[in-house]
Amino acid sequence: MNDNEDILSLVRQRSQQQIGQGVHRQEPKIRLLIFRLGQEWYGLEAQQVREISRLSNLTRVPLTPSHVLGVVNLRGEVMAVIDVRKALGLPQTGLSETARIIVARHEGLEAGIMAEAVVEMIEANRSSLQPPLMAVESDRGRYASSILQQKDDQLIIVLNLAALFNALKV
Amino acid sequence: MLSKFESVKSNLKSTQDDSLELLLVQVGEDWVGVRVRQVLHLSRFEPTQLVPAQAHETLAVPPLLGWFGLEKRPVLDFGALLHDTPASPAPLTGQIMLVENERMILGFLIQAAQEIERAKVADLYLLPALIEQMLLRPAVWALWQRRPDELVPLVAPDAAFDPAHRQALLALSRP
Repeated sequence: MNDNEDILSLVRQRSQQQIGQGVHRQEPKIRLLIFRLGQEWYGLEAQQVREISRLSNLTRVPLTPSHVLGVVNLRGEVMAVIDVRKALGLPQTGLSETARIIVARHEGLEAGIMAEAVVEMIEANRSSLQPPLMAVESDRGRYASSILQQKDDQLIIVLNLAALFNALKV
Repeated sequence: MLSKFESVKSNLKSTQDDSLELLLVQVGEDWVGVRVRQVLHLSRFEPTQLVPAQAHETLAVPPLLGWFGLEKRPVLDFGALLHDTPASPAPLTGQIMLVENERMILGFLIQAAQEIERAKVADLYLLPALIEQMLLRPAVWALWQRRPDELVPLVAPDAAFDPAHRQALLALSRP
């Protein structure tokens, strides 16, 4: 038997306690990609986002609804680019240099969502997400999974990609 | 009716040496590709060659511009069909593309057609699933990577025509 076993057992005990405490202390987090549409900020769960690309070389496709901006070829993969502003009840103003395509996926379906600008990637506590009660009757509420209020009072509407993709298919 | 994928396959299967001939057609500010074998005839078009559609005719078939030639072939506004809008007002100039649709010959008025180009099958892409599900009519069957920065939608003109308008057009075509 190791001469130091008496001490080592104490150290192991303390280590186990720390791990246990750590588990309780660590609150589940969520990473969100924040982007702007009109004057509002929206969020998509980072795990649903594959990449962000500049809005260029867009090809319009005939016989598609007005919210389909077109298609782009992103390194050999042709992607639909969707303008979700109409679905969200936002004005469809012209796009500037800051516009980006956010390639998002849900259950095997992938599409580029047009953003007027990408703001930042943040990490928030899951407990800080609130249900979208305030806006539930509006278009934004229909496609929101939750709302996050930041320290500067900026509201972020976290989009429900499944609801949005389903609505856009119609 | 063939599924979209089968339709793409049948379009591709019949090509020789893994390529196909495409006629590039201008629609508004955009260009689309039409398989040459789907076009019976392409000719210059002058407004005087057209007997304009009457109000009741455009009400029944919104993209109808009028009637062409001794055979009284219906002439449809190709741009209006592809953008799902009523026919454009005059002046009507450009070219006329004759296409067969279920034993009926339809004329499609186009703004312009470039020369025929040969596209490699390897440069064709299927439509993204989301777009395919949103198509108003199954007329766009693939995308052609013409240049590194240019995709061209490939369109089957006969499928751009709304089947609901076919009966109306048949009734109007009767002497």
